[in-house]
Amino acid sequence: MSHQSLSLTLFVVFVVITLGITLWASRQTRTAVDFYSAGRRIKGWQNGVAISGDYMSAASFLGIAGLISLFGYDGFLYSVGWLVAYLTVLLLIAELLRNSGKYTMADVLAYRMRQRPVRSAAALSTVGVSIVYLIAQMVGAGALVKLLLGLEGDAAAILAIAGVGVLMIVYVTFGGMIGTTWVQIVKAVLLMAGTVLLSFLVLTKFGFSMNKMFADAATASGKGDAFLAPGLRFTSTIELVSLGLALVLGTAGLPHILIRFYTVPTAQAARKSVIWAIGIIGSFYILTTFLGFGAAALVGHEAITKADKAGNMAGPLLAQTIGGGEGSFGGDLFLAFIAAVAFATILAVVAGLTITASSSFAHDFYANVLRRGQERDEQAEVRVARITALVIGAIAIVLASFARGQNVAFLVGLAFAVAASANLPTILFSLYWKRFTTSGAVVGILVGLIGSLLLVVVGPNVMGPKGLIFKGSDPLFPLENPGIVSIPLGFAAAWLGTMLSREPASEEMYEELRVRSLTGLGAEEAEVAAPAPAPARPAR
Amino acid sequence: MADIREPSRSPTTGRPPADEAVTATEAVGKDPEMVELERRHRRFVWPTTVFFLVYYMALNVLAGTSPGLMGTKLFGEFTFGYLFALSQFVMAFVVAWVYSRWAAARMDPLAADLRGKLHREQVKEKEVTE
Repeated sequence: MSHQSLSLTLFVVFVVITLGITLWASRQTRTAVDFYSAGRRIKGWQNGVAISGDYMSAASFLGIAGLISLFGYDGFLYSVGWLVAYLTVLLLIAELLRNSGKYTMADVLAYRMRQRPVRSAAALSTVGVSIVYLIAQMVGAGALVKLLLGLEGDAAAILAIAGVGVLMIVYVTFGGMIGTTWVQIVKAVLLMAGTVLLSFLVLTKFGFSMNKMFADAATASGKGDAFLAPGLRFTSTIELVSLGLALVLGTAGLPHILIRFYTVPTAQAARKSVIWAIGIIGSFYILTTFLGFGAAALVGHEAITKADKAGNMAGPLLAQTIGGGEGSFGGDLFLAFIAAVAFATILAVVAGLTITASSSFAHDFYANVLRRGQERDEQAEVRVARITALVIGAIAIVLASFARGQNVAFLVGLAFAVAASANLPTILFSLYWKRFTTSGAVVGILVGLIGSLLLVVVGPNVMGPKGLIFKGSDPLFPLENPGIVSIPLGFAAAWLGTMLSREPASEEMYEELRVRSLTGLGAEEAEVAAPAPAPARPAR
Repeated sequence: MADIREPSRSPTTGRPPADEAVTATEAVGKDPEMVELERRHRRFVWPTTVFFLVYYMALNVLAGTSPGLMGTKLFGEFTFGYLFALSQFVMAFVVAWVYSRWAAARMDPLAADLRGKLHREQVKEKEVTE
């Protein structure tokens, strides 16, 4: 059996299992709260695993391993930033958000502000961030299929992207949030198992000596000790700080992570789910050391860049090498397994992103802006969400075909910059700043969103000799990641928009929001079978 | 603290039940326990946020300004830069653990107490209406 057909068989097995779960879940999806928030019946630890599933995307599994394998130490900086980011979520956002919102990120803003403007702006930025994130996942999927099927050329990559897109739409339209949550859980377990196994096998190759692994990686890279120090990928401090800010602040503005906190019954469960996520995600990112340096030492620079010039295939190639190399049964089997895990990873993340963006469009824009929140027809709302999933999937497929050849961790880093610039300022201000107004929120979101996207477009990855357009001229903006400019810009715009307006109603509602967000008074409760009100806890 | 009770000042007649909850929430908002809860929360989360952001950005700044220092080997092939990066994971695990212990001990009981007060307030309002 060739590795192509083996990997395809394994992949099909996984897809059948997850579709089965999704189909089962679809029978449990009856109401809008089921579709969007899994009835708020997800347990804290389950949600923690699901958050990990949502978060550990192609960027983490394929992208970081690739960056470390090509540039050594610098790639590991992504791992650090993406974990530390969870402290921002844990300390400042998760619990308060759980208590203040209902279905989407915009609910928190709409609580104290004029609904239509803030919901429109938030829906726009949710869709924007999700599409940038989706592009990266599709690029990863394309590279993987090219490797698996041994195909050459762009047509194969585009076909792969379209195939993943179709599967994703099936997931979201049938399963809703319950289905997506369980897909995330299954995927997170598979990904952790695959990564632990791969890391263990890498260590056996070096006699369980990390010293030997580092030394061999440095030698094989041809860079020597420089491979174990910063400077091969990033030479500018400003670029490093810019990327660091985007990574550490971006997670707290990612709509698909934030809405996961609505699936649990209480703020304590939200806290518990972040703690679980930090444990799982942290362990995973530490293991990227073995994937990356292991690939550098065992697979080698030339073979990695031959399969994908951005390094995205380092992890799967490492599996093949450890299993016995190309053409051997062990190598093909292990490659197939790791490729199936990577596919599962991408599909699950794509499903999570799509449901977030489509929920936001249906709930925030369709139901509350177009329909003005009157005569709530939840069936129609869910139908709109499903149609939106189709449209967003199509847009992402088209855009991803332009981004082929980029490292997926780098691409996701851009999505983080957009999220930190557009969403984080308004979320923080609306939770903590009494004076904050609707104008401030709308201006903050729009300036952060447009500013960060624009800086990427005029930056070195789109414009100039290394980019896609105007290859003859220099890029207008020198940094690859716009975070250091666009994040302060988002905060400044939200602040200025607030200072130039006054909104006594927002200040009044803030009084309620602070009580509700900190105590959980009046927060959306779990859907329970018995309609009896929850008894108050005895006062101590 | 526990025996301080806000009097029910909300006018209950003619208002839909949803508004009653809002009025009772307002009363809880002025409760000294609520003020204390908010004070504790802010005094913990903001300084901790500043701490972890400074610790994290130090890694990025050092990576940019001092690649030589970061590349210094401390144990075998383990460079200072790699160990500093690993320490970020340890820092994150510790902060998360400390926060969850702190919140369970210092936040949750107060929040539960305040929810209890609101519940009693609502029951009382309901009795008045009926």
